[in-house]
Amino acid sequence: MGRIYRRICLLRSEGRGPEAQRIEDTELAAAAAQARGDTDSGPESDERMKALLAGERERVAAAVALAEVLAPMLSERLAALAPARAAAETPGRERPGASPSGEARGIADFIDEMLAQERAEAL
Amino acid sequence: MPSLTLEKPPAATPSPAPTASSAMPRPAAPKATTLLIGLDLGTNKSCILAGPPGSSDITVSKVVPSVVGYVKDGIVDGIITGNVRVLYGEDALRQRLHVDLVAPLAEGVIARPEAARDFMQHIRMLADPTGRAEIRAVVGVPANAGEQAREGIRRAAQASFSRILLIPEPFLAALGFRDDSRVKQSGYVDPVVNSLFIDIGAGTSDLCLVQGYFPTREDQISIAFAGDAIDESIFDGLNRTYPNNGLSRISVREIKEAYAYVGPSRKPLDVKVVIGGKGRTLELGDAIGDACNALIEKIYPALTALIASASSDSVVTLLQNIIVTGGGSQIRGIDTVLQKRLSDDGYESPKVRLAGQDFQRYVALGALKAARAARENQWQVLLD
Repeated sequence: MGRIYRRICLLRSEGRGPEAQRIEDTELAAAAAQARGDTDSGPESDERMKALLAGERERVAAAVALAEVLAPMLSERLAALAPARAAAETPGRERPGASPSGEARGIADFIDEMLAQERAEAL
Repeated sequence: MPSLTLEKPPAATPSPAPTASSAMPRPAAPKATTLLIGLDLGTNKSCILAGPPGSSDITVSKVVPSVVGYVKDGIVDGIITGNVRVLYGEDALRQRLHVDLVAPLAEGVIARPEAARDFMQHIRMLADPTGRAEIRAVVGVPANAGEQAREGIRRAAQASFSRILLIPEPFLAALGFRDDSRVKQSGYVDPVVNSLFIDIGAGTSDLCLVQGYFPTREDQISIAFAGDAIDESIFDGLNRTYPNNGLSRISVREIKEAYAYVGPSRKPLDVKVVIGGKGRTLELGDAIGDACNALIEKIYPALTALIASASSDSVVTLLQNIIVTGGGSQIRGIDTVLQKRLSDDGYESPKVRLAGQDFQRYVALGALKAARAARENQWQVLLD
């Protein structure tokens, strides 16, 4: 049930409300009904279920926030590796364009790119 | 062929047993200092620049003909200075009557391994006469040189250098050509950021797009037609026009270096030579012009192919930064002929220029800059 609700929260965070609603009305409802049937029904059971769903909501919100912080960092690192990897792993693909200033990249960085190309070709 | 180098880090495949060492004696004393070498190992001429790490000083700067002369048997003592058995470079050429001349390289790659090892040992001694320094060398290789060619260079170098880094020559030419003092000046176009280098050597003509990242295989074209092929063509033309002329290939090369041109015929081009002890004048306008123009027909398609592959954002600036270097840059008119051809074909304001008087040094200079900048873990260790 927690897994289903996480998926619903994620869909809502992505703006896919109707899809989230469909899953809530079908899969979540079925899972909740089964959970009530397996345990004693009553206010305490409902409270536990609400607490569970609230906990899952918070987990998804925290994960989305972390992704928003990590994504720019990862994309910078991947961009730095991308010319050597793209050239070595997918020959013929479009090459990186001219960088605005060579001074930002040192000779050692060029050597790193060369060695990365050689290692990729050796594989 | 198993590699004799050990890459750092991480440790690569285990190395096989080392090969027999060179005939030259190894330095016995412990190596106390490190010396960096930038080496343009050319088919015809090699350029060596050396200096200590952490400094911009160049302590050794030499251009050496890439030739080894093994003294023939039976040569009387005293004919060869010091009665040495092996000569190198100019000494070997000067004594060519008394030695067997061997060219270690052909078309930019090692062709005679033993001679190459001896030549590398000579380079080492030129850079470090004491024989005590630890030598780290960045060596230029032809664009898109295969692993076999690279391994040939490593094997040749193993008894001479402790560490090595092989980098394509056109990229090194761009690094060497770059005026580091002007990189931050506005208006200065850094050749490493956006240029196209045409490096015409003896064995190969290499073209390379250099656009702010390390050139990929697709950015480089190597053509096995260069100075030596021009020599051969002039030699054939000479023998057709003047059979049994008796001129050697070395003489033909000297004629080429003095008179080479491209473009419309410059006939009559009268060249004075000595044949059989007598002075003669040979008309070589077409022989020289046809041979050199054949080079243009090889280079031009490769040039336009690389231009076509550049991004539309970069190509206009790129067309303003086409640089011809190497010995072939001395062919009269090569810059104007290429530029005119590009212009006639509709390219936007192309500008082809020559690397200038220091053309012989740029690859080695770029190699020395790379040696100074290389990180410890980028060097390949050569096993003794």
